[in-house]
Amino acid sequence: MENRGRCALATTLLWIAAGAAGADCEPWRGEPAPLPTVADPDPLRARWAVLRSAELAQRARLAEVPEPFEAQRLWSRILCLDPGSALAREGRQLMAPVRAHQPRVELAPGRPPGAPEIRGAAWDSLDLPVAFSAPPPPAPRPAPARGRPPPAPAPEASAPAPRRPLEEALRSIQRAEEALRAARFQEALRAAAQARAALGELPGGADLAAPRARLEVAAATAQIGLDDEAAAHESLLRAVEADPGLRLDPERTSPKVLRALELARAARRARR
Amino acid sequence: MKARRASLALAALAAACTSPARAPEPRARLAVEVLAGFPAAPAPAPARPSRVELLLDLTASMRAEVAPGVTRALLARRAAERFAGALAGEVEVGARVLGARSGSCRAVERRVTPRAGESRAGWLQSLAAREPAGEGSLAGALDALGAELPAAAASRDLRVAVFSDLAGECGGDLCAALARLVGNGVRVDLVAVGGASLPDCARDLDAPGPPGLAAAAGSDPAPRFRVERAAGAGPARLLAAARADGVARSLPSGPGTVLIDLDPPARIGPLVLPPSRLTLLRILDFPGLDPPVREWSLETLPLPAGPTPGSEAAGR
Repeated sequence: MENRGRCALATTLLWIAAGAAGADCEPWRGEPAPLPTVADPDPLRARWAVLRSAELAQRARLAEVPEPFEAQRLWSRILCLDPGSALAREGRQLMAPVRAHQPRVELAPGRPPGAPEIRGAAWDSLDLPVAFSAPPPPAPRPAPARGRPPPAPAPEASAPAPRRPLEEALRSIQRAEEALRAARFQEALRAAAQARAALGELPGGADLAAPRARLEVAAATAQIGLDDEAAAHESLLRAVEADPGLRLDPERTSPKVLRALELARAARRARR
Repeated sequence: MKARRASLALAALAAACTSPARAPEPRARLAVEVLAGFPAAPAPAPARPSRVELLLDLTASMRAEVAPGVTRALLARRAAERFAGALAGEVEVGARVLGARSGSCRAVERRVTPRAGESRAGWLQSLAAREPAGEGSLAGALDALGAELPAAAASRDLRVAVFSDLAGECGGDLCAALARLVGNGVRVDLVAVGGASLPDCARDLDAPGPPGLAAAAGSDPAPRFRVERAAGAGPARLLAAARADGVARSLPSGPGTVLIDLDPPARIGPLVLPPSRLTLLRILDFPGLDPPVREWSLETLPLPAGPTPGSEAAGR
């Protein structure tokens, strides 16, 4: 009885939380009244809330492109049933009728100004940094002439350096991330592929979870930018295989990527 | 006195012997409840034709620099060019400029569209090449834009992309203007340059109205069920029939199979319905989920005190 009381209190608090989110949480016709939540003390009503949330999420995803307003309403409705659902919060935010974007300025020396090609990802482009040519750095002051030729470069500078796959991989990952920031998705994918190949050269047993996950997230972000969600899903599956505890910063990661990561994580759990 | 008592006893005995000897059939109670999902997965709605309107702010405050050599106007213009160039070809695009002509708090300029054969990025580049010159109210510009958009936004996907520093020298209620656009089914993307941030009132705007799906949910009454008992080679005996609305019904105890009019029909049992007990059968039916889910639970409870057979609630 005491436990039931605690559950009822938790349910009430969740209702208050859902109400604070601005949702109308009255039951629809034919729904159990009061509207169950996933924390309902009655296990069957709680299960109904779980299944109803899953059903609404499927309908919301179907509506995102043709009926974005309806999609947002459905994501909000899920918050009535499951106020803690991060997926629903992200969906509601993504489908909000008014969205804000704050593109940063990226000054890159020598980069020609102009709009990079990002066909098919117009709305995502609004959040990406905008590249401008940086003013040229001041030229180095010439050394005073003393009548001697400049010293020859050190022999090691011109000799071929031994290959270091891990360093190559990290450099490629960095290039991929830089390309992403400038919305050069194809370039990001090429760099990610080079990083993947370089990591493949390393002996087994090396702790490569972090760079592997990082490169696959970069690849997935580019693939989402190119509207290739199937490829992005595969990349994120590899990311969570490499690092099952992978977490992305929600402040710096596109909601689409965050949601795709959660889907990949769920798919990995289902496979096991 | 003794004779009278004896005659009464004889009369009672006679009355008992004239009616056939028949023990009352023990009764059980059964409540069936269906907690349902949506009937079936819908076909995806066709994508609607899209129209995007760009509003570029070139008011005086856009002259401020955000980086060495980069003004707010230049950043906004570059972002707008990139955006317009990336829109799919079938999207109808128009643009308006605010503050491109000198003067105080002038209205937004007329809508312009790319000429035939002109690339969108190039068109926008030429449109926005002018330097910030005058003033104008962003809220007023959004209102004017909303008045020009088709009233029936439901027939197409209407979006407005605003490139601005959100400075409000000419006043106007930006939140009210945004709310009016949203109320007409228009989505708005505010690309804020120069460190401006979206006011909270705009962040809190939600899609107006209830979900269309609410109207489709659960319009049918509870499905019907019946309980049958096999009778050898003959037809099954019907023990009870009612709606699966969670109300307890009285029926003969013993074995019985519950058949519920779901799609596809559900057949549960045979169950044993114990006498003088309430059997609670609850079904979760989600045919519209991918994959569909149907689960059921069975519980036997003591009868609640003082029920009226056939009409009492299931006790929950």
